[in-house]
Amino acid sequence: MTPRPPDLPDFTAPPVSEVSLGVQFNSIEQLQAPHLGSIWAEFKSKFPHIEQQPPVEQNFETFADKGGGVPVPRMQFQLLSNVPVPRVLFINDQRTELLQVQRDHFYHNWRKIGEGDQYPRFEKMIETFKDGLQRLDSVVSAEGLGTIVPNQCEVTYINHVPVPAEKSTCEVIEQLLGRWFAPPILGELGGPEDARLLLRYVIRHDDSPIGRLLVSAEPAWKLDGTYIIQLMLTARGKPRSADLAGVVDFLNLGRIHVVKSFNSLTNPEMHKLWGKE
Amino acid sequence: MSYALARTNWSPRARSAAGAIGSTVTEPIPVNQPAVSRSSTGSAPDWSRSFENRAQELLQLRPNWDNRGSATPRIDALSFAYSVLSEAMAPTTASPSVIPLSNGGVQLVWAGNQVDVEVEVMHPNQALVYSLDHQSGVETEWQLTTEFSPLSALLRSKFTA
Repeated sequence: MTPRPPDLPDFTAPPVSEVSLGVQFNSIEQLQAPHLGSIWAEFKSKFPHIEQQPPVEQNFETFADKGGGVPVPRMQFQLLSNVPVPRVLFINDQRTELLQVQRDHFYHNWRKIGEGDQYPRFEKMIETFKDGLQRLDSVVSAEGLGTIVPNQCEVTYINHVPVPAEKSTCEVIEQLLGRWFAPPILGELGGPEDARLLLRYVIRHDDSPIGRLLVSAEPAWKLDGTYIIQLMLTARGKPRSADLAGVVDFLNLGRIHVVKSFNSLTNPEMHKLWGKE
Repeated sequence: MSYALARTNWSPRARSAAGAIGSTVTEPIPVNQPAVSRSSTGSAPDWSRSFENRAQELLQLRPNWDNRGSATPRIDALSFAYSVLSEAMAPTTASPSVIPLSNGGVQLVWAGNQVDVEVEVMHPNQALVYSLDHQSGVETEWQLTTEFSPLSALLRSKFTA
């Protein structure tokens, strides 16, 4: 197992609720719904439960110097093939870990279900991800469906910060990101009722853009009715090489950007609650 | 006054994490959307709508659609072509012609008085850009992956109102 980078900030009780490591690859057009059964057979012993979901669309981080022009908004663009092949979720017994497979994506997720669930840490998750992608590649090859050619990678951390009954969501966002965000007080209107934020940063390698870091903070509620601020950080971009090594390199880099950005954006007072070491 | 806003106008511009399944345990708090006119809020560029319509048409093609054994246009090539346009085009840039290629890729074509531009998307992260300057006769080719500044400069200077 690869060791954790020594200079990376660490927390003993991070507010993380879900982590997702993923790769998008050129669509395997020969892969049909029945093949998903052969793929599940490869993972069934560790992931015995299944769910079926609609496929997620392809996302690409692309770049251009727009000469000072305002970027064109990215509209949602969803193409529908005649018979969409579903996305299947293979889920472990505890329902905390899962793999997601569709004809152009593979993800490994960990999610917190109960309060006692401990984040297994990135170093363990990347091993499960690598093993899963290699097994998927083997099945795809064995079935004569083609090869996996990665074109984008993605690492996401979702954090939940509870909103106590005596505080507004805006106050909690200020408590969370207070170094950067102070809600404007508008005369007789007072402070805002709530707020949501979206930040985008370009990830570069040798001065060339290779991906983006997206940070969002917004009010949400859990299905048990608890109000929270959901702080999501996603690093997405093109792998340096279209193979497993390139994918793992990007996920490692993306994780470093996510963790360092989380540390820089959030308030040191909150770090004490999360056990920063 | 028309209720012209697409829901997407009020969605975050950056795409959310595709693989996260957090929505199964949380729900974002919705904000009621105002009924305001298109001119005061902006909307999807015309090229966006025409590309999407054309892409849906192309996805109806069957293998051997041209009786020469050509492959069906692939969703990943069309999705990547849309991403290229989103990055390289201004809102008022002219729509390209969208032509299916025999290998399942797609070609984008702008024909102008001064210059012609073609972009062949074979697979994601693989775009071949070709331009022909009618006055000088100079032909140029670039192989681009995810950085489209040269194409953007060309389209914004020659094909944008």
